[in-house]
Amino acid sequence: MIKVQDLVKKYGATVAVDRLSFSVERGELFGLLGPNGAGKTTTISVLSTLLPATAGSASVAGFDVGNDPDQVRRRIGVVPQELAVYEDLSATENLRFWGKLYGLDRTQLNSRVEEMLEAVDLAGHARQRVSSFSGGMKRRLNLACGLMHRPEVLFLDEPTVGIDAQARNNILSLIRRLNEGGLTILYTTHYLEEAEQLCHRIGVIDHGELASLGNKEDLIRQIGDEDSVRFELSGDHFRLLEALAPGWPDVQGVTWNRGLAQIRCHDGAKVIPLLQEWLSDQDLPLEHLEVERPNLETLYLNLTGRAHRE
Amino acid sequence: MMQALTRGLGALVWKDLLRQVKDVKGLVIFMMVPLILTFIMGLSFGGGIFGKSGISAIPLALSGGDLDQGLKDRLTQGLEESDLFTVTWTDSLSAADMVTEGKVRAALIFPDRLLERFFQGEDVVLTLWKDPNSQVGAGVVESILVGMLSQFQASEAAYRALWPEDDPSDMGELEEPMEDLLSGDPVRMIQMLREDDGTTTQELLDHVERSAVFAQAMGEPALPLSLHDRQDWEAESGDARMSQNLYDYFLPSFAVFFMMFGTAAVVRDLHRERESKTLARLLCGPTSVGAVVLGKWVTAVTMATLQLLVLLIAGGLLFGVRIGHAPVALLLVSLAAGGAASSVYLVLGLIASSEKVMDAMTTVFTLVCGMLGGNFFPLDTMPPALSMFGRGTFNYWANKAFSEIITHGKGLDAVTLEIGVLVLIAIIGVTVATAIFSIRQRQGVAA
Repeated sequence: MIKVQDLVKKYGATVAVDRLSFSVERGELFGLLGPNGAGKTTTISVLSTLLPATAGSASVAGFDVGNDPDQVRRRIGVVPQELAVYEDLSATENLRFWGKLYGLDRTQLNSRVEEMLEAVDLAGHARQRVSSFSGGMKRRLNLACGLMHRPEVLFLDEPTVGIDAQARNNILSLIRRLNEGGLTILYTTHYLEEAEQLCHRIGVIDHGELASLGNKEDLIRQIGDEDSVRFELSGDHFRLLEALAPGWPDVQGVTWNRGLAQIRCHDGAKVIPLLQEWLSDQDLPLEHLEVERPNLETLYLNLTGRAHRE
Repeated sequence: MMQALTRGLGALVWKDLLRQVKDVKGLVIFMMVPLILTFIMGLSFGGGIFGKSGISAIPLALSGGDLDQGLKDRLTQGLEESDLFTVTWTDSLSAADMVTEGKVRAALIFPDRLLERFFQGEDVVLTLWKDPNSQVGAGVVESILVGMLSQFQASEAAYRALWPEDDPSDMGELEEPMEDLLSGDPVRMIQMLREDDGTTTQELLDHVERSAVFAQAMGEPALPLSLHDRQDWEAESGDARMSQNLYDYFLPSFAVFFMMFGTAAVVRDLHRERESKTLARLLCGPTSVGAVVLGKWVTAVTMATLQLLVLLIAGGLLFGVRIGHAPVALLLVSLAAGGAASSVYLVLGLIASSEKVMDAMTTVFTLVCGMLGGNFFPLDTMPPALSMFGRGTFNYWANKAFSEIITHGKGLDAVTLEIGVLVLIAIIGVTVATAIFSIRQRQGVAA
């Protein structure tokens, strides 16, 4: 549904997107994950025909974005990162406008407006001026505006920026429902947990380049599948553990730093009972236990060299 | 081609007009502020349902204690019938005080025994007190008086040059008391003089008759100057109302000037859409660049035309400005003026890199065009070279068209050239704006 091949976008001497290649299948929810300034929005802007590519090619729904922009525009829905809604109009008026723009007739328009207001839970605020909406309500309307004409492909550019957890969950569940309905979605975010929760496949992008691509499990595999079991322990007791633990099943190694011991193993769940038994023998409590599984955070740090909130 | 250009145009215009209407503050600034300012100006210059004002009812004090009451009454009637003055007779000291206190704009003091002394050849002086705070009102009194005295002086000088033997200083004492002769009725006065057999009276009669002949001759210039004002066309159109209304002259230029600012404000929405990213979203939609530009243009034209019509209709209803004789011409000129203004400001808006830059640009542009195009003062007061620049501004053509209709009472046939020029400016402006926007979109910097 989306094909991107060696896409390059430069702003003068600055390279925003550098030989980016990926593809998205029909009905797939594809995540483009990267820090601010990584090139996610620029990629979406090129795919939605807003920006011309400097080099490479891209097609959406079978149409080249450079040669057939009109065809592409009719088939896509775009939900920009900014709240691109008319705040001086009501929710209904916003939706009606976008519907009219895409040529919906009166009957289609009326039913679709009602449908979208219900979908984004704004039916009770239909005639209210958008400027009086909360951030979450505006975000939901922003999303609904991009869906009025039933696009084949939806570009979602960080649709949950700046809203609270409840509003975010609402939006994420709506996106999931849309995808389950067959909508192809390209979703950019710098929230790792969103990409983990939502996306079938994830492309990690940094400095305009694709650092990694695959489903969540593929990516985790790239950084190994070790669990990390951490807990508080004195230096003296650590020396005892250091001698004993390597003999436990699947344990890869043991380290200690400033009162915190760490056991790296294939499956933390198998190690914890053995650890509890040993601590009990030593008459020691198990305090501040943490089990960390490999996740996108770890992957992100490994691939980009930065914590994701930078 | 046309379908591609206008795809989504209806939705864009609907949205933009709806936003304009729902923006109450903006609408107040757009419609009410010009209306309020026009109202204030109308009260200053106009009249209409608020009665006479401005130069149509200048309070004037006259002092001439020994003038015959009949003459006073005739003088009062003559001045007030002109609609220019409201007259109060008083003594000379009170008249001066009334000027000082601002109760009248001017006071004219006739000296004692004016006519008797004048016909006896004595030097007589009229005194005019002017209110320094009323340059216009007092200035009108002065200029009318100076004009009358100049004409009188010229005829008297000519008379003395042609008949030096009739020098009044050699006439001696008048035999008849002047108060009996000068009852205030010139016809009666002449009859009384004719009935008198005395030589001196005959000389005086000759003097008066010859003076009258010369005064008439002086009043008929060898090279006639044809002046057309409101009275001319109102008489032609059969309108019995013969009042003058300065606001006829001012309202068109006020309306066009406010429309220029109003249009700039509507077009500024382009930058707001750019900042809110709705413009980017529009450009990802099925609509064409041409439709986006045309959508803004149609909205601006609609609002500009509405603003012009509201101001003109308010001027007509409240202040008696003549708008009813050519409604189609007024509508077409308003549309053409709105179209030209909208396209020019659209080009400016697209050239400007941000809303702030556009604000500064359009303010300077509006003020300069306002001056050059005749919104602040008439073009004929400018040097010819500067006046030529004025003809290059769209507002000049709008001002001219409105003036032809409102001030000179003409119809559609008299403003076809002006409408044509305005439409041409509109077409060129929209074409240039679309071209600029298309280039920007191809470069990826339109939104």
